[in-house]
Amino acid sequence: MAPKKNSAKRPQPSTPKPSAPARIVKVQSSDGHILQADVRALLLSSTLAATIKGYDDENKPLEKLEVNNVVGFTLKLVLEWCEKHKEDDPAIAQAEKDKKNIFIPSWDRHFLTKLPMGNLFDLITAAYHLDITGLINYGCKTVANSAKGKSTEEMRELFGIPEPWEQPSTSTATWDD
Amino acid sequence: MPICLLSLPIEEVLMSMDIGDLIAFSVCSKRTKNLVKASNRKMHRIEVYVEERYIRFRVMERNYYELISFHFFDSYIELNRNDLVEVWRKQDFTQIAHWIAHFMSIFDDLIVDYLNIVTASLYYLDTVKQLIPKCRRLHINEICSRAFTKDAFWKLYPIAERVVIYKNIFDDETDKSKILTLNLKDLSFKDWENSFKLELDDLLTLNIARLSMAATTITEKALNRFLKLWMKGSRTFYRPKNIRLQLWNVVNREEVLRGIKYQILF
Repeated sequence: MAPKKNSAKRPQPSTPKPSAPARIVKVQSSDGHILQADVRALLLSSTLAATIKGYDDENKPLEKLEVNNVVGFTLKLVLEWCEKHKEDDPAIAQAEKDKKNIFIPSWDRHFLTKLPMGNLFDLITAAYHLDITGLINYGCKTVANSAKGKSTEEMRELFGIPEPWEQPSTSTATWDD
Repeated sequence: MPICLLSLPIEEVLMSMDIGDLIAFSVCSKRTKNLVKASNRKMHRIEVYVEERYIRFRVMERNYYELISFHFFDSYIELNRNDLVEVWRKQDFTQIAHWIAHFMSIFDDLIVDYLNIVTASLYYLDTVKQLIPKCRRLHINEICSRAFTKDAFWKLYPIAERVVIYKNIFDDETDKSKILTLNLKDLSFKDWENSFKLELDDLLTLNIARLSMAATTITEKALNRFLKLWMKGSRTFYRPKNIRLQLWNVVNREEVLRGIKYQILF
């Protein structure tokens, strides 16, 4: 008999299940791009979930959600991630929060590591604004992994940390304050 | 496009980083140092070895079994991780003390578990004491000379909860009395070449909570009297909780236990 794999701690990949027809809404980015998303995917964001609940409680038709602090390119990435994870149990992401050893499933690893560092940072920042725990977990772990084995000089280059004498004088949050 | 790591939920990124990466990040700037400090990462075990030319740190983090080793030299540090040796430099770090002060400051409540003085000049021990104000266990290495061991003991014993030394440092009765009446939690002597001669009064005036001595020379009569007095006296006022003497001389058990009711259990 083949040995059982200990997969209890690892998030299971999303599997399509027979469910109610998707409820699609429009989502508008800060720069005016309009995208479409399944409400179940949007519920991964605590921020958007609260807005959607507000509409539902008041029986108001939800035609368009405005996301004022995320640009179109990043919002598209957020929605792609949420669509992939819309069937996930949110408790898994909560349980992984604050853990050092987070396992990143292969789809997410591929999705996140293919992004240039700047886009990855924007995606994590958007996930933070929208309060999407799973995306924050995997994104932060991906950034930490990208620093693995790097020297101070390599980290400066990777994260754009200037030498102390290169500090911009106009910046409000500098590396050397 | 400029990248700004500061815009990220940085605590979560730092939480996921390995120790070596975290330390490399902390060296980048004052800001990164403060971020690492604020992330409040705890180290499970830190061992420090003081050598003539460098100080070596072995750091282990709880549960992850990640062990890395730093050699701190004056103008650089060598980091051993993943079977590779890396050299790090920082412009304004020109002494071992700069590196270690940085390292000690980024982890809050950092207590060195094990400090081993292998080889060092005596004057350098003052610097060690400043850099490492507290340790759980201090070893003065067995390769150190007797004179060095004695001086190093007097310099460093106040920073340690437990001290282990490998030389008999009692030159005379005054030395013995001074050392055995120190207010120490735990002191171990391990010198099998020069035994420690103990008298009854030494055991009665002892103020160390846990004492271990190898090898000890003491008479059966002194041991017998100590046992009787200890059993009769007010033990609550007697500080030592554990005295372990590994005897150099052969003793007759009957003589040691003469007049004492006892039972051999196993």
